[in-house]
Formats: sequence, structure tokens, C-alpha cells
Amino acid sequence: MTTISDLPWDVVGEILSRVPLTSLRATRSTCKTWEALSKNQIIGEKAAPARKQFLGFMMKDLRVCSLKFDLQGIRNHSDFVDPSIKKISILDQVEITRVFHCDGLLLCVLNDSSRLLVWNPYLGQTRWIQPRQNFDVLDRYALGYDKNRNHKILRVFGEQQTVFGYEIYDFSSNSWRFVDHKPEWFIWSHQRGVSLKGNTYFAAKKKTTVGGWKIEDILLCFDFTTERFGPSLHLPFCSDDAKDNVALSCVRDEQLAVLHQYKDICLIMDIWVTNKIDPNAVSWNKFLRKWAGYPVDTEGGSFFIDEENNVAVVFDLDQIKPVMASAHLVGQRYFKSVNIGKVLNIVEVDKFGFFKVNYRLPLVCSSYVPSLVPLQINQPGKTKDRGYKTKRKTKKRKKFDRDY
Amino acid sequence: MSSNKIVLTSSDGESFEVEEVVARKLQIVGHMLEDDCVINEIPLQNVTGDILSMVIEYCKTHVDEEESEEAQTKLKTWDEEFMKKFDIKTLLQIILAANYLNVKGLLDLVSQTIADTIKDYTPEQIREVFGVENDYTEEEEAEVRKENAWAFDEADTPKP
Repeated sequence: MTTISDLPWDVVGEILSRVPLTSLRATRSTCKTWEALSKNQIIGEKAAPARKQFLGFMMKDLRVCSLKFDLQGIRNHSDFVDPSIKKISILDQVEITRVFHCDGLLLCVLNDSSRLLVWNPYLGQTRWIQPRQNFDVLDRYALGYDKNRNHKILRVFGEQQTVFGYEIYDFSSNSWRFVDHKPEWFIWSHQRGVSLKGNTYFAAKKKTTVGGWKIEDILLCFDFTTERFGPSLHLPFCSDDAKDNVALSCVRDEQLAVLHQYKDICLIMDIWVTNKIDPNAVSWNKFLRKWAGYPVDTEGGSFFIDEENNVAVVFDLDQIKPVMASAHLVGQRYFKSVNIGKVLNIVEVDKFGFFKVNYRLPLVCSSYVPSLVPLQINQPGKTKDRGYKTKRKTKKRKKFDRDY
Repeated sequence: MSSNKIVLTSSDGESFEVEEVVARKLQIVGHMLEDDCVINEIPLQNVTGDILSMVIEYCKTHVDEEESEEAQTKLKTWDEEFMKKFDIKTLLQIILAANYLNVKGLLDLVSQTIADTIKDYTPEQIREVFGVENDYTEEEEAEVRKENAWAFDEADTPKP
């Protein structure tokens, strides 16, 4: 009788690489060989065709959630779309405000700005990152890697419209390095960069004095190899003020997508996708223009696009009842809103003594592809000749991380 | 293409006369023919007659792969129907043959079909259906499951 053990390893690997990520748990816990094979095979390009749905992570109510969004229904005209949002219980003990994805790693920013958490969901490893001095609520973060596949974190700090400088955290040295840089551009603190092939792109604003003092929208790339911001890159729209809503997203870790909506003039939403992008050059193609009929929240408006079904999925608050979060499916001739549950609201008193309700926006981050990037804990300030002590501490740390 | 006929013989002595273009879909045969020597009969040691007949059926259908969308859809439907005929054991034999005979399209198709079956199974079901031995200790298995405690599925979470 032929069983699966009679097949050559590469054939079994080929089969396992086609098992969708949603069934990771079952294949990995079948036996040790399958665990090893799925590790080798599920990572990388081979896994890509198996994904028929959007798999990623999102922020909701200060918790990281896994998001599975099946859009097959649009193509089959059955009108059935099925988002499944699940809070991640192993990260349940900390409040997280933002999450970034790059190369199978997730960078989580804690609500209390005390430290950062990096998580490799596939390996089940976590790593805490302490600040050089301190973290701040206005920090802009990004996760990336250089040409030697060294993973790094970028922290840009300053005030809303002024950048004071940035710091780079290197995973291999477990330390921060400060770079003194006071550019003419700034990035709103709610703007989330998008990582693409190791580098991170930001929608930024540049102060210019050409033809009168004004602010223009630009695209910036932070190159994790040179550890420098590149030149201002072109965005495919003109906005002469800083009020418009601009959001970035990445497409298959190959291209960048940008969503733009004029805030005051009309409620048309435009989405473009790059056909060429690198740290020094970019060119854009129109993906969608749609009269949305409502303004996408300036601080929200996180989205992803599905090229196969020609739709964008925009996450936002419900316009009528902002206590509810919605996923808007926007296509050229298609529009549908899916309720994705209640959101947390925080009542604050502003400087004039008025009550202001802040809703926690649902923020989606780019689609997840597992990786084997290890998060081995390096103890700060320990050298190899003090191996015994380091080892013991590492063990302790590992236990702590596991208990999480 | 010439309509040169080639005879393929299985390990249990069954012979199949096929056109050269069909035989060339089996890359192992293609390589033999590349040397330009005149071969009319090719023995295939590692595959039985009943499995070889299925591989040939696949190759005949896929012999001229047209680019048009209509033709592609038709082929896709045929592939789906073709796969429905077999149980897991037969699929494993076909994939083994497709690997040995080096028929890329069939290898992809069967891999996908088996993967689609696996995705709906619990680890226990996978072990039973595919005859995989569980070499985890209880603790190790719990650890792997915990690593994936976040995984996207929810309905079919295995009971601890």
C-alpha cells in the first residue's frame, strides 16, 4: 500500500507548500518531519499560490487580531464576503496601539510607550525591545531589513510637524543608534509606513516656499541598507494642503498602493498602484476612482487591495454610528460595507474643556507571509566571554517569553 | 509534429501505444528521445499499468495546451473532474508516478488536490488517512500547537 511516507521528501514538501496558512496548525502538529518540511516549504514564494484570501493582522480595540478575509464571493457574484477577525490570545496581556508587518515579523507598539514587542507568529517567538532613552506617543516606527537580511527598527521622533531625528535599532547588536537629521519634511504621527522588500515607504509632507509657503504630499523611502531617507518621490495626485487623506498599503510585497481622498472638495476616492518602485524612483497606475460618498477617516483609512477581484477593502468607522467599525469593499462598479463589530472609544477633555470622543480605529496591516527570521534574545551589554551569565539570563528570558 | 507512435510498457508488462507528442509530455521519455536514437518501445520500471493509463489519459488531454481563456477553463474543469475519480491511495500512487515520469502539470495538480484535502483535516485525521506516525511526545505536541495558538482557523480548534 502506498502511504505518504513512500513519497520523496521534495514531493511531500511540494504538497505541504500548497496547504493554506489557515491550516498551519494541523500540518505542523502531525509529526516532526511534517513540521520540518512545512518550515522549509511553506516559507517563501512557493506558498504564494496557495493563498486565495487575504491573511494578515489588524489592530482593533488595542489588541492585535488575525484577519482572514475571503473575497471569492465577489467574483462568483454570490455577494458573500467573509471577514474573520480573531483576537490573538497570546498577546492579550498588553495593550497595543499599532502593528507593522515585514518579512513575517510583526512590530507591536505598546499603548504605554514603555517598550516595543517583535513577534514571529510562525515560530512563536517574541522579543522585547527597550528604548535607548524613552519612547513617545508621537513616534513613527518602521520595521525593515538591509541587504544582508539584518532586521532593524526605525524610530522617527519629533513633534507633529517637525522631525528632530531618528534612531535605528539593530537586531544583531541589540542596540539603538541615533542619527541627527532635521529634514524639511514631516510625517503625521498617525501615518503608518509600509514595508516593501525590506525598505519602508512613508506618505510624508514637505514644506516648500516655491510659489508661496505651502505643504505638499511626497513619498519617502527609508533605505535600511544605507540607513538613510531617500529623495522625495512623486505621488500621483496634487494636494495643496495637508488636509487630504492619504494612506499606503502594499501589494504582494512587490508594489505599493496609495489611497487619496480630497477632504474638502469632493468625496472621490482614488487608488493608484505602482508599476515600478525602488528607493529612488516610482511610477504609478490608476487602480480605482470612486465617488465614496463619505470621507474616509483621515487617521484611519487603512486598506488593502485585491487585484484579482479588482476591489479595495478600506477599514474605517461607520459614518452614521462611529462606535461601529466597517470594512468597505470598493470596486469600480461595486460597493458593500461589512460590519466588523464595535470599537472602543475613549472620552478625552480637550484644552478648552470640551469632551471629545476618540474612537480606536480598526487598522489593517499588510498581508502576512510566514518567515523563519529568528528572534534570539541578545542581552544588552553582555560579551561572549561572560557566556555563563548570558546563557542563564537568556534561558530566563525565553521562559518569560514563552509564558506570554 | 509527426504522428510517430511509441509504446510505453509498465512494470507489470502492460503496453500502451501512444503518439510521440503524448509520450513527450512524460519528460523522462522526452529526454530519452532527445538523443535522436530510434526508440519504439520504452519500458517504465517504476509504474504499474493501471496508474500509467491514468497518467497517459492526463497527457492526452493536455497535449496541446492552448492559451485562450476558454480552453484553459475547459481544461481546468476536466482536471477537477479527473481528480474526483480517485481516492487518496490512488492519488499518492499517481503523484509518485508523475514524479518518476516527470510530468510537471500532473504533479502540480495532484499536489494541490492532496493539499486541499489536508487543509480540512485535524492532525489526528491526517495521521489516519495518510498513514503518518506521530513521533511527538505529548509535551512537544502541546508546544507546537501553542506556537500556532494564534492561527487563523477558529471553528475546528482541536480539543486539548
